[in-house]
Amino acid sequence: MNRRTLRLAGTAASAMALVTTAACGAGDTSADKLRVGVTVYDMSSFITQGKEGMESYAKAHNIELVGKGNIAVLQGPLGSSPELDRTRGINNVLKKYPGIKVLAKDTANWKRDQAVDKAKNWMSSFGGKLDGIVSENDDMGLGAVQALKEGNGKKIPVVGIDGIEDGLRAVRSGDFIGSSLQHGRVELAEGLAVAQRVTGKKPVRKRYSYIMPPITQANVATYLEHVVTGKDDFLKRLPALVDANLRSGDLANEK
Amino acid sequence: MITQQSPPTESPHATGAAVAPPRRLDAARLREFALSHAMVIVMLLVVMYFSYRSARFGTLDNFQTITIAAAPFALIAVGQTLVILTGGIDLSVGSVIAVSAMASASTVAGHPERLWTALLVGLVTGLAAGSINGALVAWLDVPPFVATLGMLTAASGMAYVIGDGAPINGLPANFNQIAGTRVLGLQLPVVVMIVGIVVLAVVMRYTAYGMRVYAVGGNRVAAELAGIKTHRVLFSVYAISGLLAGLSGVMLASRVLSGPPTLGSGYELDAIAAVVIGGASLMGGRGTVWGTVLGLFLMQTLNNGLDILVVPAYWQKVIKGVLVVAAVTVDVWANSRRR
Amino acid sequence: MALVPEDRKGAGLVLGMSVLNNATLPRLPDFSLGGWLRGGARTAAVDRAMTSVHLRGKGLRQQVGTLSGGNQQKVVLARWLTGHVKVLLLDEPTRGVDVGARSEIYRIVTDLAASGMAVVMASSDMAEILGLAHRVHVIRDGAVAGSLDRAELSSDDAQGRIFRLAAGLDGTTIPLPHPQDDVS
Repeated sequence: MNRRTLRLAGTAASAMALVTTAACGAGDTSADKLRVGVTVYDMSSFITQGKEGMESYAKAHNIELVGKGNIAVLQGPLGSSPELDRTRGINNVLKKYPGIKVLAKDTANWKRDQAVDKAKNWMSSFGGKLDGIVSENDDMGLGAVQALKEGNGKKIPVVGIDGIEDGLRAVRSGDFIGSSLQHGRVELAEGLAVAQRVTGKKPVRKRYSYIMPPITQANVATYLEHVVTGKDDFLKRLPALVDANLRSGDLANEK
Repeated sequence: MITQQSPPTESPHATGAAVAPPRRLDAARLREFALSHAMVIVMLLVVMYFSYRSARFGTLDNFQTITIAAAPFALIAVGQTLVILTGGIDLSVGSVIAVSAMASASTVAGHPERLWTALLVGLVTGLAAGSINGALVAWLDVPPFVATLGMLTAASGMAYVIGDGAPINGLPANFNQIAGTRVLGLQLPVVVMIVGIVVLAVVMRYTAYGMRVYAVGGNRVAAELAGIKTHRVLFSVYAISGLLAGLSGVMLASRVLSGPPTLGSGYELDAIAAVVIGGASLMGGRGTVWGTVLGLFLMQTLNNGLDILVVPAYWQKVIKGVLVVAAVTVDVWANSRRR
Repeated sequence: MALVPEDRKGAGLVLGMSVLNNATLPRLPDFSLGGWLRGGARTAAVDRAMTSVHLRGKGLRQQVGTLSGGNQQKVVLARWLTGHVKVLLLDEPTRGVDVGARSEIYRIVTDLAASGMAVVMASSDMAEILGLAHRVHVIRDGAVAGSLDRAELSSDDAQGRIFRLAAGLDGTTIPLPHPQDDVS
């Protein structure tokens, strides 16, 4: 592969990382005002982490990072609050990187089968001009991956959100360049714990934030274990983890 | 559109050829032709428009994209044609897709060697659901709308039961092969679609069974008096619809390599829209498989073309809705003039 | 056994189908081979049947819904003639049929009877009954109230007898109206 192609690939890859942070709602600080058991999408920390993940990806693939490219965005059901938040986050980050152009954005309603067809149509439309795909959830991202497979096999970076089992596996295999974890069990348990505290009149903070940790090839093995392969063991130490997290305020911690 | 099941007769508007001046005959004939082939004309216009707007639309690659996207819809649309021809309707196909996909996925999850079994499980599930519909409609005289509505809800619930409330993920990679295998350069779902369409079109046109379906739909009492076992015919069309939905479900699950309980939800509306746009009457007795295929590909081409032109999804829905109503209006109008 | 129902549109014909296909329906098993519709054989048989009743239309492929009432009734009749029928049941066969077609249908019915077919006809048209039948059974309240054979049918008071039997006035003579009675 000549240098120019690598550079273009790198463009896309870096665009991916930056927009991934946006996909997670970086810069979007609208928070629910409920007092109990709340999960808030506020992942500004991902910008720095994402950059790191991006750099290691780039190093592994010998690419230069440039900061420009064409992407397409797969959205959730239009008008729903997660979609609105995530799209807004994406736009916030995109404002900072005028070199990245959004060729198309449209909804696939969180569904893999709709995303396959949508992505294939975009591939028809943009052909080689498409450098990457940002998906507002893993399922749709996986659909995009399938579409790429059915095409001429050219791989472009895809990123998702949620860290579902198939998404984690995709990060590990390289089909995804990254995702963000929403560990349902942790979220639910912490919500319940807060509710319990409120009813037991124990001290609670005014606001709890679950900051979705970024998933990259570096840390995906750990998360795969927590979420999939070793989930029963994880369950056993969940109560202790919840207590620790509520005390520290870092709800997404899983150590 | 293609409405008559036998070759079209001479236009009843044609007064004795010797009487009317030739010019008037041509205009009337042309209008008659245009009305009865309205959807073909629309299809041609759509294709021309998109080709003009985007060079990438008219490529072989894009054509393949359209056909593979159409495949699962085509199967259930053809099944729906048979049901609608008998004057019934099958609202459950979307959920039957889901429950078949789930059954299939749960069979193969963790057991990559069970590939063929998984396929069979999916088909049997679809057939079972369709048979229940058929039995309710044919022998218990439950109105099709009600029976299939019940199945829609129940099957959807079953899909969740199978997955324990969640989608089935982590399927073995070889399950993806069902959708990924290529035959003569075409993906397997496309081949299955073509075979399915051709088989059913031939059956409806050239076999006694096909004629029975049209008779039952056209006038159930007359068919009964002519010695046709109408109960069996009614049962069979729902069973076939279910079987095709099951096949669709397995192929879809394979393509996305997961078993989501919401797979196929809403697909029944697309199937019905395709049948109606294709010229079939919801009262039964009128319509063809090829008409449905045309209706379906018209919708799929619109989806594809509008995506290529980056038109937002909600506009696509508006267009689809308008098209369905327009198609039926033209059809009703054309037929009332024929009397 | 063949049935020609009273309501040809509702019960007799599939209006959206062609003459050929409507005529094929009663004998589908005979006209198909292993499930496949036989083309030539059935077209020929139906053609013969339709010609024998002098069907006036645009051919076998015409949609029966576009035929006149009389021609539709001919199709309803003739579709049974493609095969061997021993008993033909007719229910009000000329209801709503124009005069010209009516006499043709009578001719067809008598021809069929003459050829050995047993024809059972239900009718409320007196002229038809008196003109066609060899034997008449009068039905009242679901039971046979009385019968007239050929000889009785050709007598002058046949019509009166049929009316009395139908109205339940057996045995009593109802004076038929005379023009002189109206004067008072």
